[in-house]
Amino acid sequence: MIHLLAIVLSLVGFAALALAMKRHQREVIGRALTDKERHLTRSAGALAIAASLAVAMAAFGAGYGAVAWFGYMSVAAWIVVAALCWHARLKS
Amino acid sequence: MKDSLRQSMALLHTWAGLLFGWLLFAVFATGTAAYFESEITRWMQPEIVGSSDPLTAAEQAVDYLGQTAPDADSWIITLPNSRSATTQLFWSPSEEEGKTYSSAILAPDGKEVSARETSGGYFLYRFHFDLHYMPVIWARYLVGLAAMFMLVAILSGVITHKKIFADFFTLRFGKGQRSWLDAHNVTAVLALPFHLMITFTGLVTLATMYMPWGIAANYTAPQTFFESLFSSAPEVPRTGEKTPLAPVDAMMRQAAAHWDGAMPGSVTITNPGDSSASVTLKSSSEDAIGVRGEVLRFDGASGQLVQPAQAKGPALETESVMIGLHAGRFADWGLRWLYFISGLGGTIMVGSGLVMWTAKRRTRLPDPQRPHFGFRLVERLNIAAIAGLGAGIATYFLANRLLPLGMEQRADWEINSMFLAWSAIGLWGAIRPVRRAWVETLGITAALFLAIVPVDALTTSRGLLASLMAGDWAYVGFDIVMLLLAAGFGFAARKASGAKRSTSARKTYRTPERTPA
Repeated sequence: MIHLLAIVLSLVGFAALALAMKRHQREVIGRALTDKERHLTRSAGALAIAASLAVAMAAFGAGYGAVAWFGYMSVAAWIVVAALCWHARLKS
Repeated sequence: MKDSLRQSMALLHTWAGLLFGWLLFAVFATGTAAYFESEITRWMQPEIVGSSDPLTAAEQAVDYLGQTAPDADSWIITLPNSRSATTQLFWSPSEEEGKTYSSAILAPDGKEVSARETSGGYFLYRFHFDLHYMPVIWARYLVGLAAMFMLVAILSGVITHKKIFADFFTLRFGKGQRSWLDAHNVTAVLALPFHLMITFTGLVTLATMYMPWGIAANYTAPQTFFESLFSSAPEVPRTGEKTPLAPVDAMMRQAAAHWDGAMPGSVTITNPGDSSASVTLKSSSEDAIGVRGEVLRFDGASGQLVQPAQAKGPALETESVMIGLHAGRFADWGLRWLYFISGLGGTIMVGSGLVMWTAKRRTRLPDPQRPHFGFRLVERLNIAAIAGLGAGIATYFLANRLLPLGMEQRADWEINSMFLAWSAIGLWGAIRPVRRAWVETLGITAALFLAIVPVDALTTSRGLLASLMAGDWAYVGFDIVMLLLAAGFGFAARKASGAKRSTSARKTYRTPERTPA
């Protein structure tokens, strides 16, 4: 369950980081975010990823939590990539 | 200056990656499978049901060994854990000539396993650094060399990558060479910490073999070094005074109290049945990241603790944790899946890199109809390595279900089947026109993986549906992974068959995207 929670946090984090990028903004929302929105999205993304580490470390201890965190990040980032791919396919 | 560095790194990346790419693909794929070594073994021995707890298993093992090998110098008992239901026994000296030890596996009921003969997941684990049909020592040097090239390829790859952050989430399909580059980047970058860790720690597992000079300079024989480091019970001659062994379960309980309730993973008993008997308990690899667990030694006759746990030096502790990180034995099922998925990512990274070598060069060939020898060689080896290994592993599992149960050297024939299928696919891929070869070999591999599920259901009583009903998750997981692999290879075959169109469409690569409706 902790794994799931931590992956969701990572997922939210990477999705926000992707949205903070101009290329993906155009793809997903069709317009560029303002500077302020972009900063906000990026900080929120970084925060969610940090929270994912915190959750893992609190639940499993520092060593185990850190190892798991790298796993969460890889899987979460791949899910974001897959979602962007899927979105691009739906649109075309 | 900056660009020339990038160019030279790109060159290094291309050739370091290519030279050992085929071997690395096999190492990555089988190593990834090895994260589920115990589960694969369980699947490959469907006769063994139920689970076992360490205390009962230890008692059964001592009973069994007391009858089978009462005069042995030592007994080594590897206890079952949360993932494996069997108890492995080794004892020395062996009754048989030419062998240094004998072994047996006990089922949860305490009797010797009467399941089909198979090497199970253990073979895939060993193959990922010992290969097969060749002396182990050569294989380990070869795999070590490949791992060093991998490390070079990873570092030079990071320098070569032009837009590591801009392209972080970018994967575009149907754009030929560009798509391969995207796939290679996405699988590499998003699990970069894993790839670096696994390659480096892989080298650490065999570091004393790859860099023996430190030991050679300080010890007369390497054996002295290992003995002083991993102190097993000192060898003492038997006194000849028969003394029954103190109850092992009491010692195990005492050890568990030392280790926050965690049961030992293995028990070594020297001079069993003698007054000089000694019992060494090692903590389970499931309970800490470090793979060289803690050791407690008891007097075999009295059951008293004689050697409390000793702290490791920082170097040994570091090595222990690094090997632990590589093997992932400490991982619970959630983390184990993350390891597995990251490993799959690494396998796809190596595979897509290999294919990219040809994709990049195909457009630049002087005569695309008749490519030069080197190009054809890489193209064919790619088919043999990628589709061939997939088909081989699928055949290994199928052979486990289909070979006659009483067959002579059955376990060896399962392994031979894997290499026969692998060679057959390699050969098929070499003689067919290259596009057809990809589609056909990937298609066959998909079909083989797909066949595993019905074959399992027909030959055992533990098919997918039955396992689902019984809540037997190791079996359900295995079958589902087989279906997913079939889907993956099937998808690749379909893409490969469509690739013909995209070669002609490549010129229109820059046409503006269709406006969304």
